[in-house]
Amino acid sequence: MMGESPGGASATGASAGTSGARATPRAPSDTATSTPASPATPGAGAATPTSAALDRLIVAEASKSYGRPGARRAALAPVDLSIERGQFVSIIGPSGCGKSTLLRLMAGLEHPDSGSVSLFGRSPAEAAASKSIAFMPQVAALLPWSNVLENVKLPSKVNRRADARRHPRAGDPREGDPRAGEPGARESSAGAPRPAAADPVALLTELGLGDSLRALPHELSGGMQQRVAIARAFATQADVLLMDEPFSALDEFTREATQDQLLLLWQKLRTTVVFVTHSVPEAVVLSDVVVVMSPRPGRIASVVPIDAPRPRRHGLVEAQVLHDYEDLIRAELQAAGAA
Amino acid sequence: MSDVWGVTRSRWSPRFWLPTVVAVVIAGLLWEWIAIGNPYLLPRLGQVGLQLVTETPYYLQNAAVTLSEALIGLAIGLVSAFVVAVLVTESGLLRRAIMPLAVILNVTPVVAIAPALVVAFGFGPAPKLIVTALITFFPILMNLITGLNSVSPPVLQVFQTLHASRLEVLGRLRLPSSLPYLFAALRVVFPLSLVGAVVAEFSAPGAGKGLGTVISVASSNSRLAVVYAAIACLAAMGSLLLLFVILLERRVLRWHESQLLRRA
Repeated sequence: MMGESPGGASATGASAGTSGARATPRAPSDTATSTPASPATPGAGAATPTSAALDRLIVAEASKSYGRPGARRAALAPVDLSIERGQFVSIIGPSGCGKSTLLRLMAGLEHPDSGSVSLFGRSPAEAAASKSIAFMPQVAALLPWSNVLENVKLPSKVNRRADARRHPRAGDPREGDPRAGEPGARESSAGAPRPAAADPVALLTELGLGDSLRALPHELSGGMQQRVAIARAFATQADVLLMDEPFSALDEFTREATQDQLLLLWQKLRTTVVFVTHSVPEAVVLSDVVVVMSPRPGRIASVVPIDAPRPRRHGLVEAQVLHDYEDLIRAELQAAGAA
Repeated sequence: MSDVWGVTRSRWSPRFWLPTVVAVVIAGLLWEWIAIGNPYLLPRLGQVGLQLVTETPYYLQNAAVTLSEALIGLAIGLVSAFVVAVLVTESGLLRRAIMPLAVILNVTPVVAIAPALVVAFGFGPAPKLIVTALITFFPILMNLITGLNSVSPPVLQVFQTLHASRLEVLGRLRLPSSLPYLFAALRVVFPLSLVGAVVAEFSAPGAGKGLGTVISVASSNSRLAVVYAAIACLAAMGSLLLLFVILLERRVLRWHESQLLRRA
């Protein structure tokens, strides 16, 4: 099975049987090109969204370049990407391949020169206005004067208007969505979805920080600070978590432990995650789908579904399966770099 | 207490206090040696001490006047610098309008403005407050502007993706970020406020009270012991103001690197 090209890796849907959490994995060619034609103009996705667009994070023909006119450098060639709700998707690639740029377009921190981004039927700006985006930068980015608990409560303290006009949360998921009752959708993963997400203390306890609620960030280790940042991201109760190499500054042991804790939490909450990384093992162990990018200009080289059972953990999963995927993705990266 | 290298020593150990005591004693002896030979250069320390002890209420009264001028002027300077700093960092239009004026104000020697202010506002407290406010305004303004802009980009991005309003970014992020810079300015302007008050009192001598007036009148009568008694009061007040700022800073900035280093 592992010898297959990414193009043939998926469509049989083996993972649906193991986790029961997702629709069948999509063939890479499908994922990369199936962008509906409807969002022809930026923001049009919100006007008449199809039910498929409502349930997907869609990047359509988005490009970005930097620099002054005349000396512009393309960071991102027109890129197409479609991510299912509830999936954990990693974006991997060498430096300068535009993976962070792509993430920042999704976060609405930058705007594409052409093309559009639609987060479950809304533009990034609209999604941010209703606090549907949780962004986690490379550093923990905690407020040094606030203790751990106050830091995690930050999302609930700013932009309070969003809480009122928020779209229906899990519990009565996707009201008015014709597919809401469909089995195999996200809610089947747990009887009571998102139990801990609303409560910062429960989230922090889950992440092993229950004893440090009153500590100031500088009193914590780097790994603990990143866990606080993870708790803050989940506490936003956003539709999508956008994480930009969040563990790159951690040592290897801390890194694996923090990955395990992220996995544990994600297993329960099943938020859509887009995770930028330059570590192949990290991408493989965390993700449902790994997007491989290549540089100059940044574009998507291939999309590899990770067809390994969940829940995963370091030292617990069938390591060989993951190792095979790591080899496959390394080969993809080399091919992308050479191309 | 700890020294630069974080080696903590007891306050009561001679290694801690002896160098200070020795330096003070040597300085005192030098002073006396000069004063004995040159009575018009320096008064004897005993005479200064005698002044302070016998005329305590006189010095306390004048010190209170100067101190209140300094603190009220400082408060005016602080509030106006705060308002201007927020306006200037939030609006590019206001920055271009206000900053040139603020810079011109800063490069003009305030000492030179003081007599004109006395002409304009008379011998009351007004010119003293204005001079003190002017002299403290600019250091606070510059540090606050730097501080309000010292927000780390990743934290700002988190606020942006939460769609925090400008007011929320200001209150929850920019203002707390600016506190270390504000305190750096306060360490300078608290003692500086005394300079403002005294300079203004020099410009309106013979009227009202205040240590500046005391110095001005006594020196024209060559009463050096009185002059230095008033100077001693000013030095003591400056030290107390600085101590106050440092203690306040330790409480407020418990989270900041400068305080972590100190406690290390």
